[in-house]
Amino acid sequence: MTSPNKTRNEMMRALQEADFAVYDLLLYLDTHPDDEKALAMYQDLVRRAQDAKRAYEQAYGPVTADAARGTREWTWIKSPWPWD
Amino acid sequence: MWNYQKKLQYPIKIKNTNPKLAKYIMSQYGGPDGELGASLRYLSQRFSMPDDVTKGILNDVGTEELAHLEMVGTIIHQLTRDLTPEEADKKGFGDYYVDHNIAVYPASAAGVPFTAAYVQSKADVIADLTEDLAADATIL
Repeated sequence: MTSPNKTRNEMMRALQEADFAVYDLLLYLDTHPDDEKALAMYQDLVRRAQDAKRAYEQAYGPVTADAARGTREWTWIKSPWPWD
Repeated sequence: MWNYQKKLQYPIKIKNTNPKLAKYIMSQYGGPDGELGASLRYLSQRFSMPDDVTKGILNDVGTEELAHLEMVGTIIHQLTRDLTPEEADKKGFGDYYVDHNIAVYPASAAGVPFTAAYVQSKADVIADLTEDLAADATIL
C-alpha cells in the first residue's frame, strides 16, 4: 500500500503492478464475461489501481491529463516522460 | 478513442548503450511480427468481428499492443540515446544511423521499413484469428 515516504519509482511501480493486474483480468473477462469470481476480483483491483494512481499523482504529477490540476502552469508536459 | 497514460506498462530503465542489441530489438517495433503490426492487425480486424467477445478481445488486445509498442520504442531509445557516430559505425549501426540518427523508426532489424503488407484483415473471423495465431505464435 502507499505511504508518503515512498519514492517516485516505488509509487510508479505500485501503480504499474495494479494496472497490469487490472488489464490482465480485463482480457480474461472479455472471453469469460460470466465468471463472477473474476468480476469481483476485477472490482477490487480497479479500486487498488485507482488508489495507487491518486497517490502517485498527488506526490509526483498527472498520469492522465485530467489530473493536471495546477492553476499556474500546465504540469502535464513536465518531465520525466515514460521513455526518459 | 484513446486516452494517454503517462507511464509504461512495465518499467524500463536501461543505462548502457548497445546499438547492436537495439537493431535486433527494432524488429519487435516495426518488423513483420512486431508490435506496430500487431496493434494495426487487431485494431483493424475488430471492425468486422461478428460478436461481442471477438470485438471486445481484439479491441482490448490491440490497445495493449500499443502499450507494448511504446515499451519496445523506449528500449530502442534508451539503448541508443547516447550513441556517437563513431560508435554507430563501429557497432554495426551505421546503416541505420545515416538515415535516422538516434531516432526510433519503424523498421525491421534488416532495415526494411514497416509496411501494412505484414497485416491481413479479411472480414472472416476464422481467417483473421488464424492470422493472429500465426503472427503472435512465437512473439508476444
